[in-house]
Amino acid sequence: MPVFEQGYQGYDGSRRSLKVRWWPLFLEEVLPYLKRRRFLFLIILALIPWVWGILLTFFHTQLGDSEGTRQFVKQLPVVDESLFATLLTNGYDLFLLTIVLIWMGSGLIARDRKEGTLEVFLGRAVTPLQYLWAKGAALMAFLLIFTLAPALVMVVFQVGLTGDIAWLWDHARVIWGTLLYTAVAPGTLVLSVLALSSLGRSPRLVGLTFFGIVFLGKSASAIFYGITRNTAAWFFSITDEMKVLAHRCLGAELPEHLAMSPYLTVTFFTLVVAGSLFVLYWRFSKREVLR
Amino acid sequence: MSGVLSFKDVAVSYGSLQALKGVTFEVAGGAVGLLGPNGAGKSTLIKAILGLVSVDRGGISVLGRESRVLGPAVRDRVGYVPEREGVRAGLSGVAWVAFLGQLSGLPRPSAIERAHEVLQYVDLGESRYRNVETYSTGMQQRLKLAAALVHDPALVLLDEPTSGMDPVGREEMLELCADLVKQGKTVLLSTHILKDVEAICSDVVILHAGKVLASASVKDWTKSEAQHYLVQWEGDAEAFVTACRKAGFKAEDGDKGLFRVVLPPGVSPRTLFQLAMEGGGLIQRLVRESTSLEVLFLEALQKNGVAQNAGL
Repeated sequence: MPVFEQGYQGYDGSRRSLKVRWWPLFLEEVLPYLKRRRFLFLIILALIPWVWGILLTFFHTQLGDSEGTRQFVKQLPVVDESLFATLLTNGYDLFLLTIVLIWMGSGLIARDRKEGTLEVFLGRAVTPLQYLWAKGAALMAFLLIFTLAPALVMVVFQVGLTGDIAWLWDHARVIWGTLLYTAVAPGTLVLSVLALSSLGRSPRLVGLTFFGIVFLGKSASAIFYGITRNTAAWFFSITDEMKVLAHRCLGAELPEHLAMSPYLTVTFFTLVVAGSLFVLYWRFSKREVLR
Repeated sequence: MSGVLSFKDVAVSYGSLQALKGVTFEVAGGAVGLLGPNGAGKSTLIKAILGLVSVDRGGISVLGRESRVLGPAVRDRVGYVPEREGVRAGLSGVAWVAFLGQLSGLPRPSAIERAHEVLQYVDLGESRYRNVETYSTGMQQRLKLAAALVHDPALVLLDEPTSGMDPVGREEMLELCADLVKQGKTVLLSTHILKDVEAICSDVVILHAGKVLASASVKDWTKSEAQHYLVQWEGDAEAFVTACRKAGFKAEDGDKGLFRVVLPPGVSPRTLFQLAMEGGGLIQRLVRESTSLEVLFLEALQKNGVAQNAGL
């Protein structure tokens, strides 16, 4: 019998476990971006400083002993914790990171609210926690492409080019410091963007709000610092807090103007994480996000 | 609590506004109409089943599982057609339905195959590769039904599925719902269109201002439709009422010789003329009273002290 004459057909095939129902949501967020040329171009742009880092590794390991290039190599920055901290939080990459956060993150929940698909998803066998996990993991995956992935590639190059595994022991803080930084800073950004996105229905408005928070915070901090010369002024600047965190995690020396108390940085990230979690809990536990 | 779906004293509020005020009813199966004017709490009730609103008190039992907040395992056996929107722009019909199939646990190949099947079933086979934003309102409603059926649920919740549809599209949608009932599904149809309920539902729950006004079988209600008559009687009124009651008919004295007589099922109205001849009176006018679901619905509202212009 042709399919169009068969009428309704039941389904008695296999079903995946309830625990992995978030996976299609994760893929739904990630795959479309991987097909967008502009987005891929942005990622490539963000990797440029890391290419410089890999080149530095090459110069130090391959050209450092040669008579003709020794002087030149000596003038180059050393591949150590400090270089990693700089590469992780250079202004160029932080700007691109913010663009990606706005581009991808602002619509994560707001778009589902706008299109009414949020209640379709949560009306299925997907828990709010799984939904948030899928959305957060998708954004986090892209942020790690900007941060953790190139850092690890650079470590591999360093070890591979020198052929000396002892570098890992000598610079163990590069590994765990990078891991700690990429878990805390991008993790905090993801939570805060999710919380913002859960508050609105318009991805554009959410994006503008996030942009405003980031750049107004930085501007206000810069003005406050300009007037008072107090390093605590950077407390309200997300990007500068990230710089401080990266340098602290990697044990690198902070630029003089950013040498604020570590307690302030811990307080900042704790407040942002707690605030974001509170918003998400409030929006999802009582289903306020569906109203 | 038993049956496919039962509510016991369920209350839901949005801040200070009480959307459901102690709702209690039970659905054994088949097609059930959830009838009420706009703002009666129909959509809230459906959302309460899916856990999309927070329930203040009471218990909901769905497919044998009872809880205030139903877990994913139960929602896995429920299909939901939302009233507004609920489709992802930028995706083709088949991609959207297949994606929701995957979200309901179907492996990707099965989800794609199943999406094609259900889209054929709802008569969107020809348009399945078009982007969903190009669909008409009727097509989007059918797409939402396909999405609700992709994982083969036992209970299908439809929130105003014929809203915004033309008469032909509405007819087709109702036919699909009726067919689903034939396939053994339980269908809960939320609507303010009485004819939709009359067309496919075996039971009806009337909701108003967050309360259940009545819950009964549509058949039982409409069965009485054929038995209500208005009789204009010329003669001894008392004798006519007595004769009716003796014959086993319910008769109520009205004004100006107008009587409301209810004949038991199967009794012909000719009997009234026989009674008239025997009693020496004259039936000047005999009108079959319209007691469609609409009249009964309005009666239910009146009985509960609700104004007739309830918004239907």
